[in-house]
Amino acid sequence: MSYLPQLQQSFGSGTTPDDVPNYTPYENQQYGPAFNGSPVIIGKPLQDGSIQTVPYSYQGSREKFWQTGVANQTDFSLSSGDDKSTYYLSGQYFNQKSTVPNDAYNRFSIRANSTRQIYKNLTAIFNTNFIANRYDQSSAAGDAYQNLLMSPGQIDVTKYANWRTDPFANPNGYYNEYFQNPYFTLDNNRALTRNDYFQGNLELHYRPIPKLMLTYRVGISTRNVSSKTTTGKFTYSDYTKSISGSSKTDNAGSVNDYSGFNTQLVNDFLAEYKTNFGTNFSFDVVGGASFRDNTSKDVNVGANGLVIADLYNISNSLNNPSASERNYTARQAGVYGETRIGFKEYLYLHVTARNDWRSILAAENRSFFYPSADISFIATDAIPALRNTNWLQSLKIRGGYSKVGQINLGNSTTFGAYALNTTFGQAAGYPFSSGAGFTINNGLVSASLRPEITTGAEAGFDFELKKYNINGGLTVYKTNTVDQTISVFVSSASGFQNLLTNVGEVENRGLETYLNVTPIKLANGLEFSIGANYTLNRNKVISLSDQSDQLILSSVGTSARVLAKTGQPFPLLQTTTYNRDPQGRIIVDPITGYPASNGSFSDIGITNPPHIFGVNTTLKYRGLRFTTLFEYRNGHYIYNAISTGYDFSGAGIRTAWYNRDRFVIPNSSVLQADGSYVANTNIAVRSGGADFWTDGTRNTGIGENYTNSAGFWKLREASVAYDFPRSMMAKTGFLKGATLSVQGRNLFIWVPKSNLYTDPEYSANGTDSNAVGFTTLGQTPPARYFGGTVSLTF
Amino acid sequence: MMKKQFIYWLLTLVVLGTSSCNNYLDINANPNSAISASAQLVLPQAIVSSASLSSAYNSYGAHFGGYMANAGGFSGFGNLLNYNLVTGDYNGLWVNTYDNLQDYKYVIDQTEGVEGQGYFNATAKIMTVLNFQRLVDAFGNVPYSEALQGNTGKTPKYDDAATIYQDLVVRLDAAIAAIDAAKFPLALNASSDPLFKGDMMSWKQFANTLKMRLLIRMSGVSTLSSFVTAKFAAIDKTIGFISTDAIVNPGYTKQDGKQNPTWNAWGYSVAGALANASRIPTQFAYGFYKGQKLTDNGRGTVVFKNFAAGSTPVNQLGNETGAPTIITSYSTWYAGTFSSATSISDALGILKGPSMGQPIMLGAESYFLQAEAQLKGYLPGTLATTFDQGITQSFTYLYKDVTNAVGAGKNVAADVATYKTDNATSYLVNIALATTVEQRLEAIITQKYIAVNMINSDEGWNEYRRTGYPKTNPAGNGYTNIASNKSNSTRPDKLPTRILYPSSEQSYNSTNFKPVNQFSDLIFWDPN
Repeated sequence: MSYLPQLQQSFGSGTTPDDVPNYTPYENQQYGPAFNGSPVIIGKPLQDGSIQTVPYSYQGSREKFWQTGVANQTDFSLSSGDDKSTYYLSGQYFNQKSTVPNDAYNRFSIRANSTRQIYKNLTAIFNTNFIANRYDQSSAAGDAYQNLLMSPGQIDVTKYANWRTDPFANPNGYYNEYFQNPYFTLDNNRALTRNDYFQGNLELHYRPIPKLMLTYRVGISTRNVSSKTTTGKFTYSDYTKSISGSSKTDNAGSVNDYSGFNTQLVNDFLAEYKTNFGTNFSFDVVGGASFRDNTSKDVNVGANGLVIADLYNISNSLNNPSASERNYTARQAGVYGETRIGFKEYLYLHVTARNDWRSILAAENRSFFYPSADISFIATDAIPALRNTNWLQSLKIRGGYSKVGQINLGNSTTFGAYALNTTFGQAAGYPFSSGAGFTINNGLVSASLRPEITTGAEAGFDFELKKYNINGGLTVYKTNTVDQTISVFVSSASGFQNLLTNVGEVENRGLETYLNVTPIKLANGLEFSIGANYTLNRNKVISLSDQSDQLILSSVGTSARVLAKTGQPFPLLQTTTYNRDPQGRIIVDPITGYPASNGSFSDIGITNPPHIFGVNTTLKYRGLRFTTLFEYRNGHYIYNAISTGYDFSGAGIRTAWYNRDRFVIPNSSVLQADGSYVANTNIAVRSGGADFWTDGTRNTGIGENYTNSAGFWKLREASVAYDFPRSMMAKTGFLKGATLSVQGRNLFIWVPKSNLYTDPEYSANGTDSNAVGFTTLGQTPPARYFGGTVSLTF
Repeated sequence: MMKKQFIYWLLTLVVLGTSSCNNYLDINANPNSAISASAQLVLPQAIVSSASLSSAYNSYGAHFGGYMANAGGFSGFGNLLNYNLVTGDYNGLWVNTYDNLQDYKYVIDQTEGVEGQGYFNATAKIMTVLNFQRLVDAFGNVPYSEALQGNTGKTPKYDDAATIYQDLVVRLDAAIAAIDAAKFPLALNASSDPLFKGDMMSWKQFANTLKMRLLIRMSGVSTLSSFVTAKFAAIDKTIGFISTDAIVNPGYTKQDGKQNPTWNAWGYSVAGALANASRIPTQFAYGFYKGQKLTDNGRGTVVFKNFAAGSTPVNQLGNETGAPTIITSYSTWYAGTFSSATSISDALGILKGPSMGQPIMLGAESYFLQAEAQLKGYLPGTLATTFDQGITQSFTYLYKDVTNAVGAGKNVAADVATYKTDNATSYLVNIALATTVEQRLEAIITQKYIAVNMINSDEGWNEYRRTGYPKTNPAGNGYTNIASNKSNSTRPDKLPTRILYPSSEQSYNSTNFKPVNQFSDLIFWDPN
């Protein structure tokens, strides 16, 4: 684990009401008395009367719960060739044990590539790659994490791994009345997934005359997935039910079976003509056409209520299975041309144009054209005086303008197909024996969806100096995207809940720089180089739709949301905040001292980092290499949707900030009769325990409490490698080379003090979502990776 | 040889690329979902969704209306106990009611002015009224005139609640007229009409009863009195009102997603798991059965678990100290027998079984509304008789089994008589003993409150807010105090007056959204 959330280590089991904290042996909440080391009972007695006693002190088992993951990778490759053909074969086996107990992952892959000159001007190339992934994971890791946080500090959770044999670990005898044994949660909810990829492409190069090259390429990539998700049946004993009544109820068990494929076929044809006019001009023109076909299908069947425990088959159910089916096909055709004109090898003009047709839009909107042009000038080649200085090696100046069209609809399974109409489906339990019944679904689609167009301009330069291998560059850019396709929420009083539409304009401006230096390069082989890059991105929503200056992209509960808002950076995080006076102080109740929120949202900031700074270093000495990669990101914010796990439970560090005593809300004020606000220095909250920290309106429902800067400094990678000297290898007689290396990833992270919870890069919506900026307990604690590699060349 | 083959390849590609481009791209017809559906297919689903909403509104009304309390063994009820509502609470009522209304809107749009579709059109309009009344009663001013416009009205304005109410009455008049005027109408049947199976007289009676409910609710608003009087006078008394329960049953059955919604919410899942163990009846409601306020062994026995034994777990909302837990494996509103997860008997009472129908309005409610109309002089008839019919209808519904037939061994008339003698001195049961108009009103509303217990509890909550009955004593114990003992309400009765507008409106309709206070903002028909 590289980063564990901060937990309080002072208080054990107990719950509301908490004027005087009481110890409750079977409670999940951690609002009991302070730890004192004396023996306490936990849970309720088993049927035979036995009960567990533990010291009332912090055990730290919530950190020990996570395992050290282990991964092994074995590679083998073979390549050979002659003057007419080459081939390459490789195989790989990868095996990983996760940090989550009992989760495992295997990967097998095979690659075969070959080229062959069939005829003197005809060459054929093929590449194939097959990857088989096998996952055996818990489908309830987030729940297990929650259950872990619902385990009071005096409990050593790691003792309860053997729930099948240990009566105290079994759900029947588990001490926690309200939350499951996390080991049971992991074991009882499993997902077995097979994920097979095949990629293959065939390419023919034909050169009828020397200046003309014709290329035809056909490619296929296909993915076949099947998975089975199961929940075990569990029936509590009559004894357990009699003492735990409502809170331990039987689980009927379920099984879900999924299978599907996703295939992409690509046909490309390309003609390239290269020539020179005189000695000054070079001319390179490319014309091409491209066809792409994407198809996917999946079928999902499920059954609830297993008859025979541990038989996970759809037929093993008391109930009719549920079933669903989805089919998608989308196609794209494109033609494009590209011309590059060079003048004296220092001035280049490059122009492209492309037209695409996409099946997923209406016929009148499906065609779109986008050109681009850029120019580059190699100053050091054009102006001999520059080249002849004793410091400048090269200088290149470039600039360009481009327009790019795309349709941002759907995802890699649906391809955006069939998104143009509101759909109908059976609902409310239909079909019944009386017949069918349909509902109009909640998605509206704007009358004419168009492609989104991004127009960009950029300029920059790159240089190399003669000393210390110094090279660097700077690019500034500005892009404007109009008509972004977004599904926005609308008032449900409109009869619908969301609208798929083209909206507004977003502007991005920024710069990208890099600089690499090798300050030390000695004759004895010692070499040290350092590189750095920095990017700055400033973006802003310039306009949205006519009706509204903000569009909500995604919400978490009722405390936080990510949206696009006119005049603000995108995507913008908003959360609920405390009621504040004009000076920004939290207004508290004059009697109870409690703060409150009216539930309205306030702007927090962007969820993507405006500043990214990276540093990499390499130190070489003979066969030894030591490299590091640091990264800094800042200026963005994240909301952690974890209030139940940390504060409702009482596990979180916040709940112990004031030692569970009554306290005065910092920077707070009280409303006076005359309407003014006076700083609050003495009105403490009515309760500093569960009544405060677990309450929605006082704490857990206030989004700002769980919002922090997503900034960090991270040592992303470090590695040490050693190449054994060739001379040593030669002695073995069969080895040509050997390398030994040790590497680590995600090694250290430094975050602001306000970040109590997790590595902000672990986002709930995935890094490619527009709505980054949330974490949930679904992201188990981030891990640190260490590895060693032995690589041998024969 | 090689060269020749290659030329064929090229030719194939060129042909593909030019002549079939449109065919190549015209593949966007949806193979997964329908993009249109007939009124005959949409109406039944809409009615069944309205029935599901009945269950959702019942749960909401049971919480605020003093029917339902927290059970022991659970914590984290938070603001449900202190009424510090936030905009997220009961969001689903708003979202799902408008969603349901959109289906009726679709049926109306598909059938408006279409010959032969008159019944579909009229019944969709009647159900629209039912749902808008639910919205107004819960939220007050809501989007109405600009609602349900889809793409052309994404931020609908809020209309005045009283104005909506009056328009709903007018729409019911139009719907009844449209049924009478329909030309060669395609009949509704058991498939397309899971409520009345195509009986148009029942639909007209239901429309009249809804109209009566709207008018009675408005009757205390002085500025609307002439509207109420005129509209009552115009009611077609030859049609009359529903005399039995309006029950939706498309064929509910013990299958995932196909169970009766109330059973599914408070009874058992298909797999036999208890749906909810964290709620039990309030002492306030229980006191109307077990002698604390009234004695009602007839209904009490079929409504509550372990009623006869006197061991029904009951609590005051908010009390977390020594709160009783449920009887193991039993919903407290289920009086049948749980033998095992696969053997749960059908029963009488509130939770009859997974295949029971879902009442959207009880016959009892119709009679109590008529009784109040008679009390106020809007309708002719003998109040005492109507009142007794209401009680009889309540017993009848609760004595019915999943097939909607009175259970074997149950005698409604005899048990109603026993009820009257068991409470011989109470004017709440024997209305002849009531000496004032106010006492008669109290009897009518209190009996309605008992009749809708955990069936249409929202009506109990609405009528409590309108009339202040049944009586509550905020300083009293759980049997006399309707409110939570953790209440933060600033009102004399310690209850809130309403729920807040949903957070979705705050987010997506912010120009029209107005924050409201759950203790000081009243629904227009609420006098205090």
